[in-house]
Amino acid sequence: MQNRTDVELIELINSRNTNALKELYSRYNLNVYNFVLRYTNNKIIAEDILQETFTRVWFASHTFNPIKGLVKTWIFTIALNITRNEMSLKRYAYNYVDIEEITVDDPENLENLRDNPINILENLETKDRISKALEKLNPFFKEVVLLKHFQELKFREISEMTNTPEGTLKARFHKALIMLRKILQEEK
Amino acid sequence: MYCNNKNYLLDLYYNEGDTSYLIDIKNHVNNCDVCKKNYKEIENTIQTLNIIKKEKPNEIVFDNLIKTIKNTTPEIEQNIEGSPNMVKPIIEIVFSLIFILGFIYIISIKLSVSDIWGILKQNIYLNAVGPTGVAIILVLLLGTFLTLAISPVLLLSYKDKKKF
Repeated sequence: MQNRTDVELIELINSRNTNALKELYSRYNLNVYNFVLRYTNNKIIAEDILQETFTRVWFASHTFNPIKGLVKTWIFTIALNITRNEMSLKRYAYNYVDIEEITVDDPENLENLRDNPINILENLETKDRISKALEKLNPFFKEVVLLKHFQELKFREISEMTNTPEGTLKARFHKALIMLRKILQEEK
Repeated sequence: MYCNNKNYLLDLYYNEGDTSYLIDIKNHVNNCDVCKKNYKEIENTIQTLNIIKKEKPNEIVFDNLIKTIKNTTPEIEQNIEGSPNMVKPIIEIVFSLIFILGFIYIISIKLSVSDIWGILKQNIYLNAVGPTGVAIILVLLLGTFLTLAISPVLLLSYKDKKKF
């Protein structure tokens, strides 16, 4: 399965092959989860949306058209639409990942903490500040930062996903960077 | 021309665009202090974002996903090679072979419909259901044989339609 292309996996999923779904999930679960997590700031919602995204991939695999775009872009479009709907339906409390939670969850952090506690705490504080700064962004700005920087999608791909002109996306991204810089400087 | 539009700095940072365009921008940025400063600022802000690392979702998400689809999809294949669905076409091929060979046999011994009818009438079980009953059973049997005989062809055409 690992040698199959994304399109081949979608074809296999279309013929109800769970191993193909497993392989596709292993390729994209981390990216989709982190995109949704940064967007919603809630681990439980992010996991729910991740599951919903791949459930839709399973049931809507016949609607995928390789001429229209990549599998990766298609999956992110599904995730983005679910996330947008979810966020527009309810008002979520911003359960931000706090320092203690990161320290316990991340073994790499625990390892570093033994070596250099001051550095790791500073690092965690910076992470927290950046995450909070991202949270303050307008959803459209946050969306483009998450898709462009964190998911490494091309502006052309984001444009296809969101039906927004590339120029508008670049302008939003640039504005978001300026806002982030300002927020981070204010918090220092 | 580039100083009025900062979007091109993003193209340069993310290396998006054709080579001549990117070289053009690079040359401009190297020679323009304002653009050089703007580029540096973009670079620094983007690098600050890199401190955020990816987190792993709970492993139970995939288990729940499989449970959900198994509850709603009865015809799941476990893998494409040697799938359980391969048994069905084999049965259908056997049926179609029996049908074809039977047909050839009937033609070769020059058996007419009235002869078959006469043989069937002699059967005590078939006599019990009467001529209408025999006719219905024959139609049903023929229908079953025909359906099973042509189903490999239907199956193949269905699989072709599903591909895109």
